[in-house]
Amino acid sequence: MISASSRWLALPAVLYLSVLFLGPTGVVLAYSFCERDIYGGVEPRFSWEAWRMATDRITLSILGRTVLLAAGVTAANLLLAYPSAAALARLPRRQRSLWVLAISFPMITSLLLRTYGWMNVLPLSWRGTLPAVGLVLTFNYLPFMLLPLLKAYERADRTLVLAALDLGATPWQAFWRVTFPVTLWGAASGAALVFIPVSGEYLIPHFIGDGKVNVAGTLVLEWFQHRHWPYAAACAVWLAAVVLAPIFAALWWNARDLAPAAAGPLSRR
Amino acid sequence: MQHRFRQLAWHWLCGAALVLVLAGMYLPVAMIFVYSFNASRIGTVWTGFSLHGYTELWDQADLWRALRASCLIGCAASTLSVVGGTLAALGLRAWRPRTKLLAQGVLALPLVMPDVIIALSLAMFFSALSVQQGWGTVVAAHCVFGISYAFVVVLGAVEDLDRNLYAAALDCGASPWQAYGKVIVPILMPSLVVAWLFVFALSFDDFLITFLTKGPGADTLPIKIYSQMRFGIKPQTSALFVLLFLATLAGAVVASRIVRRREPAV
Repeated sequence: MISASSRWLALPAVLYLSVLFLGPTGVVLAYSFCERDIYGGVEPRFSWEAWRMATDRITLSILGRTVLLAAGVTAANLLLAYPSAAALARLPRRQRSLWVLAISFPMITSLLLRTYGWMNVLPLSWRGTLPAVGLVLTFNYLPFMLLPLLKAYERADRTLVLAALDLGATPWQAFWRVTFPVTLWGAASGAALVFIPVSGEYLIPHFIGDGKVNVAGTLVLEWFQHRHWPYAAACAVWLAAVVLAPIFAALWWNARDLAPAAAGPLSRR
Repeated sequence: MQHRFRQLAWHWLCGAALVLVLAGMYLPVAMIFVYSFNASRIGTVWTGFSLHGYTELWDQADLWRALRASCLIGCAASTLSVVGGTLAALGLRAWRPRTKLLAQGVLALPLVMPDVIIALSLAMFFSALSVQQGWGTVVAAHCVFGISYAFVVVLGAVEDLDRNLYAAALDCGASPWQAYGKVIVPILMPSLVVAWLFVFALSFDDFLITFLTKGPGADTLPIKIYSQMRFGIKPQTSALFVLLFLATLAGAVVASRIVRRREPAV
């Protein structure tokens, strides 16, 4: 039995995030409807100005580019992670965990320095282009796709694939008709883990994009620094909607199928 | 025959993807190693081999100050986060299903928010309440994502706890404090350590949230590097990260040895 008095233990964390997460979210929403104060901050007067700016063609095209970039990076990650996970799944356990550790170990070095490394590796003519930003983002988020996918592979019954091959399926058919359906939840949770942070990414588009690639993250930060807080707030609300919409849509669409997928990265197994 | 050949080609393709992944992960790290041996004072161009990135590392007072700030903020944020997140995971078991689900949503929501939104909202929040920004606000901001991650990491271990353990400890005469301190916490310890290291690593490498909540004071390592990015990273900065990388690697190897030696006994 769990004693009823232990329920108070949860209170500090829940209250903390209610104040420091929900509170700030409310402030951003409120600020997006305020007038701009050119010294930073806002004038506490109601105004549609920020939202009029945030629904113009330029803002919408930047948001479109952000979604495109995030979707492209997610797709590239799937393309790289699926065969890698397949190759890893064939290895014995000890070797496999060593490989996983080796692949994700660079993540502990500073993101800024790794980005700097890429800046010096990429040909100069690639700097400031969207594909270059996508390339660097892809490798930066690869472990987030690979790990859930590998978990899905480990849980899948490998004999099924062998049976399919024995019965004359080509490797592609075996993958598409057997492996893919049973690892879909891993791919879905990996996609969420990649899509969400990539759509809000600031550092990589800023430095690899060389100021020429405008995405939601750079937009929000630049206008915050230009002291147009209501517009920055409105863009942040847009970005949150863009990120959360597919997740809630997916949950709504197929609550039972995707519940384990959404919980996949969160639960231990 | 063709069947066998197809399978071989498929295996080959998978192996090639794995090699490509590994190359992509280590290419930028290799560049940090290379640039730590650069002779140029500022790192934009390669001018020749030199060790002064390492020999002059001790003289870089601002670098060490930034490292200290990063470590202090990381320790404070991850300790607070792990305590808060663990208590939340333990306490939520006694909540009613409906409110529990709501609370879990609040606790996990920062995980599905891009950093830039958390950073902007906290900066506006602190400014709206005219809170003086500094070390305190940075730690408070890092706890926002820290509690979420710690909660999620510890939750699995808490759900696996035998529900009778606590009651058994009380039956055997332990006070509630002793029951937690001597029974529950030792069982949870491996996940607590993982959660702590995880949050520390996130806090240590965080740029955006720190950047918008730091005020004039708390310059962490990522802030320092950011200011060097445009004009070239100094070789000393690269050298520091090479040393940190190697130290973490050594730590990971030693830790895995210790864990492996203990495993058969359990």
